[in-house]
Amino acid sequence: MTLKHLNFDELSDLIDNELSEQQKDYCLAHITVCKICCKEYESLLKCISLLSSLKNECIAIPDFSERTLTICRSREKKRLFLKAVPAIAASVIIIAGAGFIKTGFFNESGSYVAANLSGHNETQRIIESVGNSKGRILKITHSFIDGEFDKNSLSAIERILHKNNIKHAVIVNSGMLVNPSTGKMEDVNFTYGNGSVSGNDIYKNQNYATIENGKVRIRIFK
Amino acid sequence: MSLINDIEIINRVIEGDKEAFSQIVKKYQNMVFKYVYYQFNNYDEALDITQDIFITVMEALQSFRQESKFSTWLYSIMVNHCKNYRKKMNRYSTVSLKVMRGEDEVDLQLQDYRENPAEKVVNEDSIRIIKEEIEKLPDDFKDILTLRDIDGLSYNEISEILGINLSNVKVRIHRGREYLKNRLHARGLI
Repeated sequence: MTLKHLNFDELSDLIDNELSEQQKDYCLAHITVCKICCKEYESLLKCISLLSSLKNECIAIPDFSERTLTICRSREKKRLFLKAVPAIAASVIIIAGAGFIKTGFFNESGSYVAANLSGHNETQRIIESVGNSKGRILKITHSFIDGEFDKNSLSAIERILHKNNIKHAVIVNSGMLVNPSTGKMEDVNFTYGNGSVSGNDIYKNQNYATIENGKVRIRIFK
Repeated sequence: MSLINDIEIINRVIEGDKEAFSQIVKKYQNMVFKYVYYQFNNYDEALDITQDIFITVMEALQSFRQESKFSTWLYSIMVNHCKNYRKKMNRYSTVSLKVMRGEDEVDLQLQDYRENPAEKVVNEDSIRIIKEEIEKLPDDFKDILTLRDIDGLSYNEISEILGINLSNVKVRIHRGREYLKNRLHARGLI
């Protein structure tokens, strides 16, 4: 038997049964005769057995299962919600956008015209009424629209205007009309083509009436 | 519970029966808790970390490819989780509680009033010392000795869990044991 001491790795492998049969026999034989190696072997054995004893140590711990499931469930819900946020946001934007477009918040150029919305709708309504009565538009201002119609269709246009509750007045030959709001006679300034026809200018007004013979003019108020 | 049962349960969980996961937790919670507890030697910390490990496992269950044993996969998650936690904790500075006794500076002993069943064991001194020494081990030795000598895993399992080759496993076990044996010898335990 050699007197060369066993190294630590050999002792460790011996305990873990990691040596070949031949090496194992050699080490065991050496330990029986070498007190130093035997002591070293026993120390290591005790060290490992102390560590192993911790495996059987009784430590009271709570049951983790219920809490784990609860936490996982709530985290899953949170994850699903966060996943849905972009879709929800996109839906809101689409719905709101569609609503704005439908209600006419954006005109062709994309500018905001909500302030003029009611006037715009009324103007359209009047223009449509004139169109339906086979008339034509002579002038459009912020407060009224002047239209010209065949005398035959006068009753039709008046019916339509009444039906739509739109104030209007027929312009007489003198170039005057009775304002439906005030009930007073008012002078009317026509702008027709390049010229201007004033109720005070009888000649021009008569001239204008002559040109448009067989027609009637109506001022439609917004 | 056999390996087949583990896989069956996992498949049930993946298919949507989340409740089935509680069987896995109940089966492995002692093992996981003890590993964590010996790594940090702190009961409350170990509870929190164990909880986090099971949450991580459940959320990562889809990625378990069933190429290895479930327990091996669970161990690797556990070991990595502890490593990450240790790293995170090292970022924060710790304050040592010292008091002056005469001219000497000694650690302030804080009484832990929680009931700990381990205190009732006859060789409580040995257990206390071994726990203290495990805690002081360098991280690499701490991981490997816990897996090998406390949990009793094979060299192959440890190699798979730690992602190192067998010869490295052996070398680390040798060095760790030698280190710990010398420490315990210095404390008069062996």
